[in-house]
Amino acid sequence: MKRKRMLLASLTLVLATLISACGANKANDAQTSTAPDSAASEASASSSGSAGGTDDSFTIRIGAWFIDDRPFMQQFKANVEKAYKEKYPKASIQWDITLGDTYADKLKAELASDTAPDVFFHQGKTAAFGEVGYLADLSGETWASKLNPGAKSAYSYKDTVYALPMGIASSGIWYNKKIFADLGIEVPKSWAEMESAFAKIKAAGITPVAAGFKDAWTASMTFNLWMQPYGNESSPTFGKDLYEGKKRLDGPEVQAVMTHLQEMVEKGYLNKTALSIDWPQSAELFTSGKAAMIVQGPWMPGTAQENFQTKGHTAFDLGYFPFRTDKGYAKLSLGIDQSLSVNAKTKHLQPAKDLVGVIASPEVYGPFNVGSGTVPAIQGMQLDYPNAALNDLLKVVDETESGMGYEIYVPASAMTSLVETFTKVASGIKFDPKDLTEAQKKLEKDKGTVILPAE
Amino acid sequence: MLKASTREWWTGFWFILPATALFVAFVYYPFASSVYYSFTEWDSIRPAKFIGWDNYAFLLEDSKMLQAAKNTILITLFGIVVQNPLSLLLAILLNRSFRTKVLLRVAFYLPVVVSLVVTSIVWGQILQYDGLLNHLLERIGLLAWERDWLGDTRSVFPTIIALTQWQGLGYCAVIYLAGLQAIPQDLYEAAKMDGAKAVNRFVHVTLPMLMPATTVVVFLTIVGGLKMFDIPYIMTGGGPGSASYTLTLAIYNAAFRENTYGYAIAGGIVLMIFIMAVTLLQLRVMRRKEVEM
Repeated sequence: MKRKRMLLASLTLVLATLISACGANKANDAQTSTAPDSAASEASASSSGSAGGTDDSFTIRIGAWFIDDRPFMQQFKANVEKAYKEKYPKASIQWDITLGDTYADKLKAELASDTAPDVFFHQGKTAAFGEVGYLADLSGETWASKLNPGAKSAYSYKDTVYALPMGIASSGIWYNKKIFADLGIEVPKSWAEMESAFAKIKAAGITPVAAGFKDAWTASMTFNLWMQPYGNESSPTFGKDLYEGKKRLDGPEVQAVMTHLQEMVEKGYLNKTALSIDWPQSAELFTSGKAAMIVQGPWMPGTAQENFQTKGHTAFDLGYFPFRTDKGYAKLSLGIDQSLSVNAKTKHLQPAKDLVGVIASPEVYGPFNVGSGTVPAIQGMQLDYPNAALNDLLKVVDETESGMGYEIYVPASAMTSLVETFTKVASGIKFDPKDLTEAQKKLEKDKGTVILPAE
Repeated sequence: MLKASTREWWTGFWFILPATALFVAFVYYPFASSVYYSFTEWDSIRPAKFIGWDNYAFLLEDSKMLQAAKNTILITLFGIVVQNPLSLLLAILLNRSFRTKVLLRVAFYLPVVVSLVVTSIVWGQILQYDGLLNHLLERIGLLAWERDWLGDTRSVFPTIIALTQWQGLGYCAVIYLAGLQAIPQDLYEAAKMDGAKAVNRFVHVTLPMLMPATTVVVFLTIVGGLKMFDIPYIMTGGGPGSASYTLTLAIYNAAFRENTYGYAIAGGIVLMIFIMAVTLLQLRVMRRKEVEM
């Protein structure tokens, strides 16, 4: 009897410990918003997984890191909900949103433990996730045949379509048209013209370029946009050449960019706070008229508009131009910020594919691209961009040679090392070509982490 | 019928089973698998590829890791050589009787309890180029000293060191304060009767009696210094360049930013062995010096 009681007590302990250890911790999600439809949730729990009929009630999870309070993002959410309701009236969408960098780590853990959302956004992981079988084949979807072949590496792996790119982004140099006009500066067509523009602006008591390198991604973006023409001018397959060892990260191309950065720092063409302010602070420097240029993505006009309205800055027209080499060569770096995929292990495969289909529809996909300032990756979609600055950007994209960034061939560790050298030079330390040896060593060591993009 | 001792053994076994199972599942197994992964090239998504000792060999060639190791050792040494005596001095001052004693104790302990995110924002405002510190320097005519304290390769690491010392000072002082208050007053009275001056009383009574507290403080300083992550992570991210990297930050970046998990784990294992060796050595040396109470 006593032994039985002991056994019962210890079993109770085991159970109690296990229960306390197994609580699903949804509080970890920065925001998990779901339609408060408990009946739907219960039904989803018991749904057979063959939710092909439009009258089934189920909950479908979608994971993202970028859906924040910006009006066009909230509109995107509402558009998705509305369009999906038409297809599945009894379904509810659970938005699994974790803002920022931690999302990517969380998603990897969820995928490894089979708890990932049915549909999820990711950044540049199509090949890696596709290779290990995390993603469902979307080649048969109607939108898949209309994707822009230029972005193939972002949506396919071994000729299978695994993702819907949410838009093609081009980043570059945004400038204050009023300052340029006041000082009689034309849009620079070469590095020499760029330098003379810097000098004129500096002489007028205005900071030529606003930088917010406290956010590592801004330094990384600036460096890569700058490298793209310098690298591709020396070889149209610069990224691949780096991977194959025909070009080196301590070679003349990278050295040219670092040397130019050093000249800029020495002449005071960057704000003195370049390394201690983040991107919103650098945007304020630009929109307040204290700086004439800023290197940013297509979201800059929207941010400027917001700053003009909320921070009392005097509004001005924004213009856009690409980085150019000493000889005037320009090559835009096209990038895909968000890609949307279906979890290969989802219990709602068809509804998940349909959710991606809904997002790919012109009513949802179009406004999202307009809001983001991106070009649709789905061909044949004509959009009207109300912001004049964005039309400026699109005109430059149309007129300029472009391609996927060279950096897709470079391991992340080597990229980090390059960006560290870049920020070191930006901080005022003289550029030493030996600093680039580390990046080359990391490229050689971590080559195995690169998945060659589809060509 | 089971023997009483066997029965007792089984009873004990059932009671420790849950905790042991959890410990094995969440500590020993992950550790063992980490050791395996440290010998692989692994990006946490695709299958791991065995590469032998390559990760460990590269640790010694990686200038960022070496810079991080140097920074980490410097932070730790500063903790022992500067923060330790300073916190003892602070504890001695706070141990005296004066009206604002409680207020000052709270003030010096505040950096320990206030969220680092909050303090880092405040310090960020103070230290940036057009921040409070440079305005102050300008006021007192030290224009040449003006700089972007966290954005200048020459000043960033000393600034990070100063912040780590500032943050840890109050915590160490509290431990010393507890140690000071545990010293029997009659030892001082006896020393006074023997004609010992204040300095002698401090050297021959206070310091030996404070040895257990010193052991704890030095131990915590070493471990805290070797594991320093949060301040450089929030304030500078290791930059500019790799000027303010610490080992834990370099390991974190190797895993979560560069997707070289195998390499990061190898770094973590080397750091763990190093911390174990240093702390064991420190405890052995200092325990010998402690006075039997």
